[in-house]
Amino acid sequence: MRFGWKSVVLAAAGCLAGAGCGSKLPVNVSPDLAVATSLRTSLEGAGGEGGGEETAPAAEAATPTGWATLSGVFKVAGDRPAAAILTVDKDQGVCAPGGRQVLSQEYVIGPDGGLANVLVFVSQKLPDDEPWTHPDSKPGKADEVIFDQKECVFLTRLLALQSSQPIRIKNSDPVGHNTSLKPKKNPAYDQTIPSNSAGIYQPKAEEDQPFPVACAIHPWMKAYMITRRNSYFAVTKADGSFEIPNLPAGVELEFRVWQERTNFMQEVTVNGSSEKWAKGRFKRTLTANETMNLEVQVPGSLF
Amino acid sequence: MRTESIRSRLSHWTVRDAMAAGLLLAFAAGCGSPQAEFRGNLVYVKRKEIEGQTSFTRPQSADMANILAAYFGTPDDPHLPKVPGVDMGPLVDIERVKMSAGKVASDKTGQPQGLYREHCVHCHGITGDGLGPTAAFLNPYPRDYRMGRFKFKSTVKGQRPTHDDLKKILHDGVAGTAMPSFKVLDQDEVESLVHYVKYLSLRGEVERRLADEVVELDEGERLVLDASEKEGNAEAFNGKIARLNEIVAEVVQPWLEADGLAVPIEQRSAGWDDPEAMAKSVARGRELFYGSIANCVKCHGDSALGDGQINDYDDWTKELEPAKPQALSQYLALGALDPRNIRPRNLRLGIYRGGRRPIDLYWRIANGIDGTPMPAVPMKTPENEKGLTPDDIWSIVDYVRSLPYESLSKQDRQLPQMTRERL
Repeated sequence: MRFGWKSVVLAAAGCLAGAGCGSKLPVNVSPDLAVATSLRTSLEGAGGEGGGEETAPAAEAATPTGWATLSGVFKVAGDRPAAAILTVDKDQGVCAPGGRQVLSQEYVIGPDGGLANVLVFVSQKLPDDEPWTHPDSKPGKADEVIFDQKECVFLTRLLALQSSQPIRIKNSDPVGHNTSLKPKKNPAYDQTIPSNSAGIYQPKAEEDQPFPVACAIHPWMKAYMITRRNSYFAVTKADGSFEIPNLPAGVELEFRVWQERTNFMQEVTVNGSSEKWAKGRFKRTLTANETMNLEVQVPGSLF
Repeated sequence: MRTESIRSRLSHWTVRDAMAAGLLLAFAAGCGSPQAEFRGNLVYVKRKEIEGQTSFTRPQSADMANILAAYFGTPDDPHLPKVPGVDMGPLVDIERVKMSAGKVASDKTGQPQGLYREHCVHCHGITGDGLGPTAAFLNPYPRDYRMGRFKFKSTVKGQRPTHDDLKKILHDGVAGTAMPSFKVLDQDEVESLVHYVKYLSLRGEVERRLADEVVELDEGERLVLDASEKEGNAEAFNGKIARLNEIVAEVVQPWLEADGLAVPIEQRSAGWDDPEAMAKSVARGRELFYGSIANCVKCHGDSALGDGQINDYDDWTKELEPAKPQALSQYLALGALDPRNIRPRNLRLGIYRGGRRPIDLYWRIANGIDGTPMPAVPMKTPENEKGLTPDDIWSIVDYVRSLPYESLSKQDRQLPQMTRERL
């Protein structure tokens, strides 16, 4: 009893000293300074390599034997979720004419399960010339691509183009939009696009994954873009079908598959057998003049 | 009776007991100031993990920390990356960085040390993550430098700020926020802090790029090979090193370019300050404000009170995916601050965060505001007949500057227009 008070205070102070003021935040991963120092030596002694230039690699050991086509269709299996209804709280007269519902296009699934706006592209870097890259798929294409918006919807949900192509960003609405592009490796763009006018965006570099496009005035508007060096890419149509022609045959190609909701697609069934595409990657070797067809089933649970 | 009993109990405290308690309390206080250390960008890593449906392994996270320490050192011992082919000289100077780094101190000659920890750290945090101890109590929150984005600058949205842009913020502070002016510091000290802010930004950007890189790795793969693995694996080892240097070069490049990218300001046509011409310009500015080309009204509201678009977020907050409660709760658990909506500026207060000079307002309108929904206005070009001319922008500036003095209650001047009339 005599020591009741004292011990309480001491115990409390002890608790504080021990653990009481420890932060609730997760533990930081501290650098190992010895490792960092030796790493610094390697990093700073690394000759004239690097530099961030977009260059094509030298040809690899195997040589392509001709040209081939990859085609296929993406279908959603099992329960198909309904599209979400968007909140249109501005310019309703233009954006939701007649008070109609505006549905999200985060995933667009056709009546027979076809999944639109899936991106398929060759992700490995290929030399720019034959026999690796077909003359029709070469980098440097300069045709202008149109990216339009009407009734407050980007008419192209996923725009894939070559990084050399200028984009004409149009506004076909009677209200003003502002179109903001948030790429990783290209210059950012965010401009007001007055009604019935257009702005021009010239990308510069290749992107590894699609980047978002938005309108700050109408925040429900959404789209994606990706710029690639060559034209070895395709976006599935409304029925879920796609085709990439003129691919180099006889060499292993790495493809990547992306969809807005699923991100890089990982678990799928291809031509009846299930495949795991780590980080959305799959590999195929095509034979000359072949059209390889992929029937891809995407589980409905991903949506 | 009661008082006596307490007194008698206290009398049992000996000097020794008191010292013991004191020591323990001192221990408790001591753990509030551990060795200064950069904090990993856990929120961004989590975001990448969710997106990539993966989780970073311990060695991968350790690699990130080690690579960053190799390039940038520690808060007490900063370092600048020396990447082949990249001259950091014009951008950041290590001596100036060092003056702001480390503990607060001064040498015999009165030369200060640790300026960042003296003036900035309590809001912007040791890492420049905007998560200093006071951050949660401020509105707006302090800037997180790690995206390399700054709002108030002379370059176009999406580009890095110039050296002078950052310096101006330190000189003038940011009106309407907790950011004060540092005009009382010596020029040298301000200069040093600008270098330190750039240093933290570059470090933060490289960190983000490393996380982008990790998420692309195959299972079990790492950003670097251990020194012990170098034997017989020289090509793979050097390939990884070269890739890392490439990332740093890509981060540094836009910063190096920025100093030449300040948007030039066109001289106004002569006679603009004549009262009659000014009144005309204000009227023209008002027309443009409500028009569908500049479209200011959409966000700043029919009465310019900043109430046109109140549900949006800035880019720092968007990263917390505020629309996805499940993801958000994970970021909050990692120390992110509660998301707040970004408000378009209330233009009737006469408080301009990026500076009140006409030239500042011109840049905001012509360039947009980085990290926020504020876009750049379209300029008139041969391809875009509908764009604005520099004089148009000056008119908007004039109108905006007149707004605080325009009475809202004068209904005849202030009737909000109906959408169809504006079109």
